[in-house]
Amino acid sequence: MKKLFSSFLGFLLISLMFTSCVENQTFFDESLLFGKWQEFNMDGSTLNFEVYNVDGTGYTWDEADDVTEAEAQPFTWELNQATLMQIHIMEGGQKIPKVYTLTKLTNSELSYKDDFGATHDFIKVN
Amino acid sequence: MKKSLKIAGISLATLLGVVLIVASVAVYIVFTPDRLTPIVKKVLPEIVTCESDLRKVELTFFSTFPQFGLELDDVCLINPMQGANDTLAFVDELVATVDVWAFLTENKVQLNSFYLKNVTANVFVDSCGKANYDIFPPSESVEDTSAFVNPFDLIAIDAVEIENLYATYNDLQNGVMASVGMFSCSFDAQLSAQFDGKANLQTSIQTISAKLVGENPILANISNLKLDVDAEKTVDFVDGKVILSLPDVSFKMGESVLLDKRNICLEIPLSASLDSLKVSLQKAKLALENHEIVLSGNAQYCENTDIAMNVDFATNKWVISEVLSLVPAEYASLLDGVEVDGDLLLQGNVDGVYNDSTFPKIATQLLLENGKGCYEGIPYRLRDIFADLSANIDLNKGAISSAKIKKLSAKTGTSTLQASGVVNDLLGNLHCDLRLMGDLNLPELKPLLADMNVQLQGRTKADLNARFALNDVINLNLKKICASGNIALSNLDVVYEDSMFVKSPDLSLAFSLPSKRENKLAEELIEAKISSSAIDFVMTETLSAKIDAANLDLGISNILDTTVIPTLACNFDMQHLSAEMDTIVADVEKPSGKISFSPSPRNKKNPHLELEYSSESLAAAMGQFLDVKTKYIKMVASTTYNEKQDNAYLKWNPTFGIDFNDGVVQMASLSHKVQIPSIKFNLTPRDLYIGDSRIIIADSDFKLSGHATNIRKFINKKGDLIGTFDFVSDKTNVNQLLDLVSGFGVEEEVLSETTAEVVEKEEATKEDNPFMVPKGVDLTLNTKIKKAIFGDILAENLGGKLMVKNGVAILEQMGFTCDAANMQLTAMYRSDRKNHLFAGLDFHLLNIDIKQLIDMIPDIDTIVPMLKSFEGRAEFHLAAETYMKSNYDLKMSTLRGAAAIEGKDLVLLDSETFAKIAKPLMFNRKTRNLVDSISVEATLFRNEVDLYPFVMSMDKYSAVVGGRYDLNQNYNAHIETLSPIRLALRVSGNAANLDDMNFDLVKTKYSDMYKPEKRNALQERTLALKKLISDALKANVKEQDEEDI
Repeated sequence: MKKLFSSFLGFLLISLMFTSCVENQTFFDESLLFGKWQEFNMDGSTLNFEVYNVDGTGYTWDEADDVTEAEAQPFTWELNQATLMQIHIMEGGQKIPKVYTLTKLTNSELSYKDDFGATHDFIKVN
Repeated sequence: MKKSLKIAGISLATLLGVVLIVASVAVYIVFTPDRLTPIVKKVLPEIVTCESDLRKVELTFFSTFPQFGLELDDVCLINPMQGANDTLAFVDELVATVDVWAFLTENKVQLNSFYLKNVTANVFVDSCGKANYDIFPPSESVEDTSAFVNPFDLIAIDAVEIENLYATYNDLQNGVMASVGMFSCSFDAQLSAQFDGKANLQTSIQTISAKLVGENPILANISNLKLDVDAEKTVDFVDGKVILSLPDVSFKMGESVLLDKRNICLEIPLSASLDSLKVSLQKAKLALENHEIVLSGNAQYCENTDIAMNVDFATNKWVISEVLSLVPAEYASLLDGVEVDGDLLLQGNVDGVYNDSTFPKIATQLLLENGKGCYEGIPYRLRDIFADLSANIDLNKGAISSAKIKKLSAKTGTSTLQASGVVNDLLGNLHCDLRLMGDLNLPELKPLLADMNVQLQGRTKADLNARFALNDVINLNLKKICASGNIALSNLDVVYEDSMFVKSPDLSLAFSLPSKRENKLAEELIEAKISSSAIDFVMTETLSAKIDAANLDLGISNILDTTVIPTLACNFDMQHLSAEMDTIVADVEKPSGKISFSPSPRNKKNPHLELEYSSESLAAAMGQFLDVKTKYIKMVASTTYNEKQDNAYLKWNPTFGIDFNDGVVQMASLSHKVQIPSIKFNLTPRDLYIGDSRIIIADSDFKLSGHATNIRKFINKKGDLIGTFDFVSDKTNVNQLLDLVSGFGVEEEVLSETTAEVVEKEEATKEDNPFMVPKGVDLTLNTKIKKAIFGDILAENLGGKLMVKNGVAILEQMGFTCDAANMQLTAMYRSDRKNHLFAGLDFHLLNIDIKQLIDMIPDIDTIVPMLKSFEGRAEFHLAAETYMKSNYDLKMSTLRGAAAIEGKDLVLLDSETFAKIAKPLMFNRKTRNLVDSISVEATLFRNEVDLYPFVMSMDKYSAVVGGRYDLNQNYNAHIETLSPIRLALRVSGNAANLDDMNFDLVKTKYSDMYKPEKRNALQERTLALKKLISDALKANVKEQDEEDI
């Protein structure tokens, strides 16, 4: 029994050690994020766009909902290591924070997910 | 004595016997014809140059007793010229008697008688002017130019008689031919050396004929002429009488027969002063047939050739038809179509001086009675014509002649006409001052309207006055014409073109030119007043109207002056008006007011219209489209038309004010009728003032007041429409009111949005008609509403501002209470385009009853689904915004929201979900589980609701709840107990089917979150985000007091 308890503690410790390794986040080059991104689905049907500006502002719109870029809604963003925080600003000043973890950021692709497992994949457009 | 007488008688008889013997000797023995005839024949050639002869010369005594006479028989003068009758003159018998004794003893030539019988004379003047009567040898003596002196003391002519004279006169030089037949006359006179005395002439001529040859030969024939002249001269005065009778006169000029066997008579008593050359007439009578003119007065010839006269004249009663019969046939054509008759009396006076430059004044009076007549150009036959006219005629330069119509009347049919007045400057520019009165039977006007299909019934009485100059009438110079009148129509019934019907028992028109009204806008020229107790007016299939007790007061400017905009002003009041035109029906009680049309005071080139109107009630309907009813209504409106503007509002520049009570408006486009218990507002081109109003629309009952300005700039697109209004209501249904104002001021293209892409997308929703917020306006509506319904929400004591600015509607800090809570709501609605509608709200429920809140706003259960598990009161803050499609479907990609709930002493209700959760977490299940406090923050992003971890303390348990779910009720929640044991439960799956949900024990992750010294970065960030969300939500909460609601 004692051996069994020792083995459990050891497993737990190892597990905690591995867990901490997993939580170590990757660094992404923020400059790669600047620009206009279009969300990508497997069926290619989405028309959701995000634009990240150098000054930490951005805006998003979904043409599938008959929204144009000029009618896009604003947000501010901040990239810290792999954590991408978007704070969407409502017209009344209220703020909607959204926190994502980048999984890919290249010149042409962007992928992130949230804590609930939802993933979003983008390709860069001009 | 007797003896003396006897001796004297015998002596006288003896003397007479001696005389008779001597006379007999002289006549029959000494001066026998045989002795006298040769002597005379011998002398004749010395007297006349022409060949002459006589048959016998005889001295008479007994046939001419007591005077001696000389009788010549068959005296003949032979015509010395060729080309004429052989005889110049022939006298069958010539006898002359002279008072020898008076001549011898008293130097008196007393021609007792001169007698010619059976005389024939043929006077001839050839074409060179040589006359055959020029038979007397030329005088060798020097012409005596001294004044004539009568060498005799007395010239007495007892009798000069000519019997049966026949004479012809043929003047080839002047083309005159004349003849006299059966001329007889007798003349006697007793004249002194100064020609004082008496004279008498009686003449009769059986025939006179004369002819003047020429281009228009003149021919005159007179038969049975009689002339009687009695005259007496005393010193310088002559009195006498001339009677000339021409019973048969014919006169022809060319082909014109001017007189045809007419009777002319002159009877002229006269007296004259030879010294002053003055002639006086006393009832001198001139007559043509039965038409007499009587002259009385005098005339004087002055040394400067002036003739001063003062003569009265008067006619007897002339029958006009007889007078017209005297008109020569040549001129009768001028009277073609004229039938006129009547009795005419003319009298007057001629007074003044006649010379080359002046004329006497003529004053005349004309009286016409029993007249009748017609003219083919005038479709009426006049009768009972009466005229009493006078005229003063002055032909002198610069003088004014005038005429006065005392009375001129006539009848035709059953109508009568009467006129009176004065006409000045009769021979120049007529100045008339006339009055015309008439009593007309309207059907008798039909001939005047022959070109019109009109039927008239009724009568009219007219009384018209006019003062004008003829030139002004001809030139239509209305400003210089004065006229007024009254026209009263009774039992009027007019049918025009079988399509227009007018009926009125009485209709009166009074007018005045110039107008006596005061009009501040412009000068009025004509004033008219129209009144009637009742008028029925019908235009078939178009318009019908009934008016009771109508009074119109009109003022009109000179409409003939086309250089300026005319002015029309009309005051009106009626007892009742009902009208129907097409689908429009109106019924008005006691309408009154004023309408005017004039040039604009600011710019005379622009027309200006003003209206003042009031009535005790008004009911109007336009088919099913519009129905309006009011009680008292007062309305003031004006407009100035400016054609240079493009926009209709700017073109018309309306000013409008209205004040009415108990109005009801129904429109087909409105689902509810609009009741207006009272309203009072004024609209100017720039501003709108709503002073007071109370309006009921379906469930809404409100008072609206306020002020809007900048209307012109708004219309001009140079500025926003700015306004502030107060909206006070006991109950308001916002949904119904929004329906009423939807789409006002929105560009058509925004409404239509015709891009192909949008059309394609909206095929299914092309009938959508979302509320479009007016653009270019900055309006604020301060609301104070006791009960308001918006959607399914019933709010109470609602107070705040509804602002509409530049296409955005903002409900700002609207505080209100409902059964569930005290609420504050700031909401925004913006219609950028038809398929892109923005709605945002900032909603604070400060003392919320959770159960009633969910009943009131079911959608809250979707956003915060655990709320339905709680009971009690809490504080709820919610902000959300989204864009919507034209059918108000949410554009999920634009949905944003944040919510915060803080509550204390809540009850967590036992439910199936709670049972599922409680079991693995080993909660103690009760029916009512008390929760000490909760503080929940959640965000909504698109379809995702993130519930940030919050602590919930219940009984001995303390737990943290967090997670995500979407609007489709897919859950991914984490519930973790902090005490008494530490367990974590993951709840996942779709809440729609509880049995399919998963409740799994998982690893705890919030154990250190509420231990500040042990928090990790992630937990710090989570708490920071919770605070960020909560602070931003609460930042807009307004402190609430009683005045706010």
